[in-house]
Amino acid sequence: MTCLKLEKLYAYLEGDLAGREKKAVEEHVASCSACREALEERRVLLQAAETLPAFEVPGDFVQAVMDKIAPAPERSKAKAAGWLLAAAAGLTTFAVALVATALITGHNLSQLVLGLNRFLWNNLQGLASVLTKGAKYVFLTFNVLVQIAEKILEILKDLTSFIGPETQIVLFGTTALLVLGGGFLWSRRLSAERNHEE
Amino acid sequence: MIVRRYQQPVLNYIGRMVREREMALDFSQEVFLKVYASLRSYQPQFKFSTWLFKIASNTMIDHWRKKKVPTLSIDTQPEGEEDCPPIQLPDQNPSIIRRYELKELRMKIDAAIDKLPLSLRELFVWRHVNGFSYEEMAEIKGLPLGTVKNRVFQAKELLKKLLEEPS
Repeated sequence: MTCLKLEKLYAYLEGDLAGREKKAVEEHVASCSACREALEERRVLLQAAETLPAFEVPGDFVQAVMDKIAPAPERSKAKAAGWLLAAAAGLTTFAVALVATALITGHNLSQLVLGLNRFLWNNLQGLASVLTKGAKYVFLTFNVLVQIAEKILEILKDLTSFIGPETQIVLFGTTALLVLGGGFLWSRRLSAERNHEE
Repeated sequence: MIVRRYQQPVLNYIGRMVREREMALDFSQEVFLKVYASLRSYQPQFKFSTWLFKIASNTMIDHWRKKKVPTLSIDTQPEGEEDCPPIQLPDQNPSIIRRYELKELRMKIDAAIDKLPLSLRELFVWRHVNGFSYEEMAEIKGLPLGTVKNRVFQAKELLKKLLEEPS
């Protein structure tokens, strides 16, 4: 009886054999103690190798890599921290000023806060009224513009009823040419001025 | 996320190649920085892990070259290697491997891996620690499948021999 090649034993252990080949190994190992022992040794070896403890990855490994890849977020974090600090400083200054005013004027702090609230509320009301007026004027202006546009359209309609279609085309073409030509000359002049400034 | 997904397999590979934990962490970081820097050159027709481990392997090659390791280079063929593995038959002498407890055997294997030639060590770790297929390993190293299988076989038999040596 010929013993199995070691490669065959490994192939069997690693699940690379199937069907007749696999069966042949199993039949041989059942009747050959040397090959059975060799197979078991290698099974133990592979089992131990494949269950070696993993290297422990530090919790901050990803962050350490990311810090090296993109340090920019650090800068934006510092910027955000700066803004937060400025806001905190502003609030602290405000609170200190409020307390100082209360001490200097001899007013109760709660009265002072209430007074400040009232002041802010009145101003907010004033601002709301100004915004409402502004919106009203914008609406009125829009209405006037719409009426003017309607009048112009009516005039054009009346005019076109007196002028023949050929004359209309000529007039339209001439106006378009004048507008385009004027625009072109204007842009040339602007660019010449810019070049001169440079 | 790439780093989160591959940090463990990369560290397991590099850790078993260089042994020192701090050095392994530094090299693993270097691998991810290289991966990030070369992301544009990644071609999606290849498996991402294969591409990443190619970078990791090259990082190790650079390291050994700088260290001028006198042992067999990681990227050269071991002496006397042929594509067809030699015919090997089981030993008639009983091995001492089966006498060890699993925990003890793991410790001995961990130490013995360090004594494997680099070209064998790398493939053994990929196959039996990282769980790569022979085809993936052949693609990473750009070697014929038969050569990869032969080297892994040699690594296992050498490892077994090292374990049987009196400590």
